[in-house]
Amino acid sequence: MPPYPLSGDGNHGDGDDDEEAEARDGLGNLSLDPPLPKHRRFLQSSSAKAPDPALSPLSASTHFAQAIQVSVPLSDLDFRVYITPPTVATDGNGKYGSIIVCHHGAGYSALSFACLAKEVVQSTSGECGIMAFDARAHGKTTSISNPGLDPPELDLSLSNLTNDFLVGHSMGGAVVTNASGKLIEKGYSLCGVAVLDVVEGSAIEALPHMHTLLASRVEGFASPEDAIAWHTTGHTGSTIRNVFSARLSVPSLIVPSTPDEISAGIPQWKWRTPLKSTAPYWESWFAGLSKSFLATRTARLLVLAGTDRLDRELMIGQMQGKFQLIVVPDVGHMLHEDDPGRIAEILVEFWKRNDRPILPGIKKVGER
Amino acid sequence: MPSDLDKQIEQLKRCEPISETQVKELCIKAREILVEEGNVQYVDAPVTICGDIHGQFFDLLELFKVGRFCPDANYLFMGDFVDRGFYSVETFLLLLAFKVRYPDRITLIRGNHESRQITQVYGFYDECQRKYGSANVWRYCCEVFDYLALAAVVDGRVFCVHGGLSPNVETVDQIRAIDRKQEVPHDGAMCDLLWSDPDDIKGWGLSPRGAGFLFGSDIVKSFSHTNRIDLIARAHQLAMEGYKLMFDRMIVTVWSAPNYCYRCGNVASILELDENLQQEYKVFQHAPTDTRSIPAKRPPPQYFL
Repeated sequence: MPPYPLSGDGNHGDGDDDEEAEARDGLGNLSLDPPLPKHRRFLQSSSAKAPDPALSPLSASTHFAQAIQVSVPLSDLDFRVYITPPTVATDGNGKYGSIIVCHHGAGYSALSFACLAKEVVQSTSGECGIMAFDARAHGKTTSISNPGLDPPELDLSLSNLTNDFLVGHSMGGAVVTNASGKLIEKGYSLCGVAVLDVVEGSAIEALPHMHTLLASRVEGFASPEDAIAWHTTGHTGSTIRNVFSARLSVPSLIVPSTPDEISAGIPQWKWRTPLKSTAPYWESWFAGLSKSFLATRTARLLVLAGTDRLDRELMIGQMQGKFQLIVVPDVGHMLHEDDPGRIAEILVEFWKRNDRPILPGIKKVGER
Repeated sequence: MPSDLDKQIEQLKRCEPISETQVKELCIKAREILVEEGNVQYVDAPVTICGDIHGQFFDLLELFKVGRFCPDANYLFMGDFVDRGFYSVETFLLLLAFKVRYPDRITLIRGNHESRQITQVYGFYDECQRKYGSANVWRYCCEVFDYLALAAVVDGRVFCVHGGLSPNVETVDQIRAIDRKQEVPHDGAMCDLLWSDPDDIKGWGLSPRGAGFLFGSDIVKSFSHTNRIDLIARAHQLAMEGYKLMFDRMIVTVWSAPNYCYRCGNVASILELDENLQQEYKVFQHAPTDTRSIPAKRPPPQYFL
């Protein structure tokens, strides 16, 4: 959570240029809906049942203040960023604000934080802002040189994903942990890092099963409604237990298939992110995560869904008092979608405690 | 002819839980004893000081082998009897039965895990449900937790507490003024005593645990000076070598759960204070691996990481 500059040029990316670009593209008006498939006729012929209106995609326009595209030529990426900036707060030394930066997990998207974003902003009366973005090859983040396509070599190594973040879900937890160390080195003020539902030990143990898991996953969907139904009907552990949140987030996980793909038998909508091709990076995402989490010189929070399942390193770290652990009952892996209210409450409490100690003269975590 | 209580102690020593009715009676008797104790219990040396146990029953038996069984030795347990290990029920009930049977030979003070909220997450609640088919035993035990003392002082010179110091507490007398008969609060003096840790900082710091504070050697020095204390003994932090002396031996962490959670690979210790308050640390290993104590393999997750 770096203090969010409120002087006007504090856009993430290239400042004024982005704002202009945003105005040109009409993104200020939030085109948050998924694109319509260009080949509807295939759907009519192949789909047996009509999409369920109760599962229709929803716009996130009431969940974030803005949706913007941020161009980062160095990475050849045009990032989709969703943001609600913090309202002005004063601390006696002038104006400042805090922002929670969220990194989604592999195969998910920024909009998985939509419900959480609304809760955080509401519960802090806007004092704490929130930002989420689609990582490369996810959601609406695309290649600059090849719009509509991902960079030819899909480099998903950690160093290519890092930026200034605070909250990371699943594989995104590894990204924010990695990033927080670098940001602190560069002198950024981070008031904390929070990791949602990922532990190195159990992740590494689970990796061999991921191929089977991906192989058994459906190839695509007849409609966004079909995708939302698949994500909410409880036949996988990635089930989102909150249909409302799924209607916001799932549409960004799929894209229309090309006519060639459709003639080859692929459904109308396919997965946005080719997860299978990320396999060479899986181990590198998680190896050393516990160690670097414990070494981060800022307040550390680990939120786990359902059960306490620390690996040896984290168990020792926890019993030596090195981080805060919260286990949230009755949620699945998509905990921030399943119970956004509870996760927002946890994050806001963590932010308040570490951003502004109640007693004067108390050092913050990591300060000597 | 052994009394019912002696029979229960023998049964618990074999790691066999006693009946729900017996638990209820035991807890009522324990509360009658504990309610008479102050927030800060006075204890006479010689005494054996122990740290976290966390339901590791067979390791508790190792501890008693090293330190002799109650009442042959006088014990002071600094909390965290339950959670994480597989035998929190037997562990806590055995210590409680000792307390009822030999009230002057064992002192139990409260740890941060002796709390309704924490035990619902870290295993004690589930264990009670599993072993008794209801949450009644958990409820009886939690009522006892609320009566446990918050600290102890040995011969006026050794201050014992589960976690550490609090910016809200300058004197031991201030601890006496706390209304302790409640769930562990989220902040304030009572919370800090159960949650804080010593650290290589100057003054006070926020604790990374999310509750309590970090305190430096200057704080320990000033507290000890004000209260004429020679040593602060506390638990709460895993010490790989079983104990850890800090700040010119002004404070020690005593950890009594060997191979914590059946996988941390640490040794444990107890601190024996003789009648002259001379310190002897007795280090011990975990009990031979009991097949019941091997953590169960978890099924692989059904979601992509």
